[in-house]
Amino acid sequence: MNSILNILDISIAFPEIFLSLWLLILIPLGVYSGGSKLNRQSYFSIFSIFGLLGTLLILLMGDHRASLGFYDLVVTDRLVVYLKSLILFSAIIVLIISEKYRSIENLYIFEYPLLILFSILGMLVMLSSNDFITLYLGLELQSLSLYVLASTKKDSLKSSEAGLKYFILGALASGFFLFGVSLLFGITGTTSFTLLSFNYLNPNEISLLLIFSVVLIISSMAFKLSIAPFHMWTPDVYEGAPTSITAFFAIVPKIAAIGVLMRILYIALGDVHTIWFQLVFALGLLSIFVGAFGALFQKNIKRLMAYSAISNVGYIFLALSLGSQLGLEASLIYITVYSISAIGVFTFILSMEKDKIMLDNISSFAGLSKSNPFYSVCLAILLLSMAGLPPLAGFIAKFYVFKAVVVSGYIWVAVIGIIGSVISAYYYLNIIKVMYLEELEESFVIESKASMKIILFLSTLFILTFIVFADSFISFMTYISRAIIL
Amino acid sequence: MTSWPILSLMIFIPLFGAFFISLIDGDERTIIKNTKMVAMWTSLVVFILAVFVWINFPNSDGFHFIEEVSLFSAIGVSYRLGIDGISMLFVVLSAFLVPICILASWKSIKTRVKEYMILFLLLETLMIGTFCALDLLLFYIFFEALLIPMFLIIGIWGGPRRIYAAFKFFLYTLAGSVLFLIAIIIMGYTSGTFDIRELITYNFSYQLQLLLWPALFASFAVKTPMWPFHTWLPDAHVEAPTAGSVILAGVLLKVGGYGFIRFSIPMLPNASEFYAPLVFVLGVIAIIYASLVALMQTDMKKLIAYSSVAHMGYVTIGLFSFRQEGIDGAIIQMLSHGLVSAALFLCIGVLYDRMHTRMIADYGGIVSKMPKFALIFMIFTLASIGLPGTSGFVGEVLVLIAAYQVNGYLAFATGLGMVLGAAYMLWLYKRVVFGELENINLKEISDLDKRELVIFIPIIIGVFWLGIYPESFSIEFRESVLSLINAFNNRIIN
Repeated sequence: MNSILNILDISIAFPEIFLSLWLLILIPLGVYSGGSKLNRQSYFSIFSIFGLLGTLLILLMGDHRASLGFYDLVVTDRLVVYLKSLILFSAIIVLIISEKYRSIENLYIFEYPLLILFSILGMLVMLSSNDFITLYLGLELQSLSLYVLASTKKDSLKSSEAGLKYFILGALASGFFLFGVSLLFGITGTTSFTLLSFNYLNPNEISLLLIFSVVLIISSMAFKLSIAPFHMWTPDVYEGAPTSITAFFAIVPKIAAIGVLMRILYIALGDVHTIWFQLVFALGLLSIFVGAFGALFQKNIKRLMAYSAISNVGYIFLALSLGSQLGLEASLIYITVYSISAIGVFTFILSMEKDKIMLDNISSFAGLSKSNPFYSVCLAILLLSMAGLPPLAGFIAKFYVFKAVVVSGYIWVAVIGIIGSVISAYYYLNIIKVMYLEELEESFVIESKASMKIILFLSTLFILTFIVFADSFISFMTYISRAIIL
Repeated sequence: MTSWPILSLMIFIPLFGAFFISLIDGDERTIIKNTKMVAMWTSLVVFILAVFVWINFPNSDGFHFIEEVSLFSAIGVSYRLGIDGISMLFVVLSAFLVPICILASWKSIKTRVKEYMILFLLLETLMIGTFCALDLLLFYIFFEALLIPMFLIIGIWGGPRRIYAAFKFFLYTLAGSVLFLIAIIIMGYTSGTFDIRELITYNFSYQLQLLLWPALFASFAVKTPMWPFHTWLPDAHVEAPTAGSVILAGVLLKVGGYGFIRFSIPMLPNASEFYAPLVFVLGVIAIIYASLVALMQTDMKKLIAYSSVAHMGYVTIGLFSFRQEGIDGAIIQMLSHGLVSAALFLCIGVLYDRMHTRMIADYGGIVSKMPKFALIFMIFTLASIGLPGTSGFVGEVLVLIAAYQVNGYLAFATGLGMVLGAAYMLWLYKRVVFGELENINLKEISDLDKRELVIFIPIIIGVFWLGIYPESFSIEFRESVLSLINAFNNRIIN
């Protein structure tokens, strides 16, 4: 296992290496390149998109079989490849849809796309990690980039506040994480996921210390995923950060953190399901309700999306807590569907502009269905899907979560969870009400690039027609999830 | 018999029509004209298909016109369609009412006609899908999705308090049906199938039945609606546009009753028997309480809405008598109510289009100005009361016979409701149609025009046909009901 060949076997990390090299080229290019400021910026977005595309290509062309590398510090398998491609894919989309916002808000600084690439690099490392130490490296790389990104709008008080808040709380969560890992190391003498899964943890001898460390690790991940009661930062950061960054926050880091959590819970702590089961379960339920109630009276669509993210990740927690193949499958389906609907909704939010001012108050969408029928129909479908109405994709995702919960025998939990989804239906419906049932105050036509319209259209189409290809998609998810559960 | 996927055609033709309407472009007037024509013809084609299904329907037990395509193979959910004698008549009823609704909205809907017609065709797709679904999850999908177009129809084209009414309608129904979803998951998981045909013969344990039944009941009782889950209905009816009320009363309320016949009684027979007294009590309260409330209404639409609650009380009592007469009566009562209440809402719509008020006090003496209308309104008033020869009579008498076999007091209470029904309907008729013509605005009122006559005549034919020769309808579902009752009795004894 410790042969020198393992170190040389770097093919496992090709995507990360490529992305790092790309970054190393882009940084000096950004610093030294001349020309007009504006010109430089669009180039940088395009360069970054190409970098991500290249990474995606290398990832998809590489070996998808389960293998370990770098003295078992790094892992790859179907699940990792799938989640990484989902991350890269959504990051590319988010970069494309941010263009309009950045030109309006004049957010053309070359660090912007670079920081996004850095955080993506961190996420890729997180997903590849097979050891708590590797995981920590990836986690910090992505978090630090995200803290800076949250405060890129330097002249805005709210943006700076968001960055600072996120940084302080995030640093605290990282501290929790390290503390938990060090306790775990103290108990078992290892930080490797593989070793931990080989009977290093005995479910029959559970010490208080072990419980303590598991709780700390899960809490820190819950913080990154904005799970209640660690969600306080979310609405402020979502509202304060530039909208294009909010779109990024709402989608991409969530996928990474959930992927990591899958690996921690199902592999590293797989033997001690009894410890974390109730915790993850309760956090999930709590988040569903905190998200549902918190969103009820929001006037700003960014804050509303923050609460919506809280409750959506709650459903994923509920599914993950079961520790079963079905639960893993359900959470994979859910995160995919959630990402795509969030992409759609944020494409909508990022195109809402009137006289060079971005609109993010829900009341400013009044009567939108008359002036911009295309945008309103798309948003209505996406929101109805998030509310879990059949036959849309959100319904199928929720159905799978509840099915997994019921099959595991927790019928009452399913009932409570479903009540949460009814409450959340109210505020999604409220936006539809504003768009369709209220009168138009002042007519304005949204003008966006064709690319944004196409993305909005395609994500809506995916949500609308998901039921047709759900069968093959779900069997694909089963195939993916078998990577870590046999 | 044809091998054509005729049920799928009936489901997807309206959807295709809606898609086609969304492509219509041009100046305002052309759009409106073409939209109406496309919607009308689409719904007529569906109606012709429904009549074709009816004519070719074999009067034997079991499901016919079956189609099956796997949807989620991992959990055994399929796109399964099929109809038996019971669901076939509801399909025909839905297909019959939609063209009438479109014709009824011809002039009264002036804004956003395109969206309106799209939503109505979407509604038709979902209604027919609900009655044709042979898969538990597929049924739920259609059943739930019905909320969306109805929410928008009430919310966009409704009255002054439309937003409140639309939200109340949506959340009430959604809250009811999510429990149904849990029940579906449990039923599908326990029995290993979502196929309604197999679930009907599957024996759920007694304990599980007792748990599942309230979940199903919560959903269907809100839809039916039964007292005390009915409070959304008056609001929804009052605020909805005329055609919305017609579909709501004519078809959507029947989904609840249909759910009891299709799911609660055959799948959970022991629990149905256990909970039957509860249903009777709620049914009796619904009949008497709703009738008394209807007596005191000042708004015509609200009055008819409460009378719907009372009439659906008969339906639930009939269904849960578990007797041939009762279930036959309940089905006929549902069909009859689908026609009569739809027609009554259309009558109110006629008045509202002319006077823009629904208050009873604003009318009186219109018989001298609108003789044709007075006649038609009288026919439907009497049908609603249950005059022999009209459709209302058959259903009520059968339910009464069944109720008497269950319990004499139940029959008495049910009968009392019929007297109250006669009281509020006749009083309404007297106050609106007879008396002195006092309101000056009424002097200008005009009688029914050709379009409105065309709307009413088919319904009148239906009402008398169902009243005079109910056998032509009941022959279609007799076998299905018989086998339902036989299976029910077998499982109760065992």
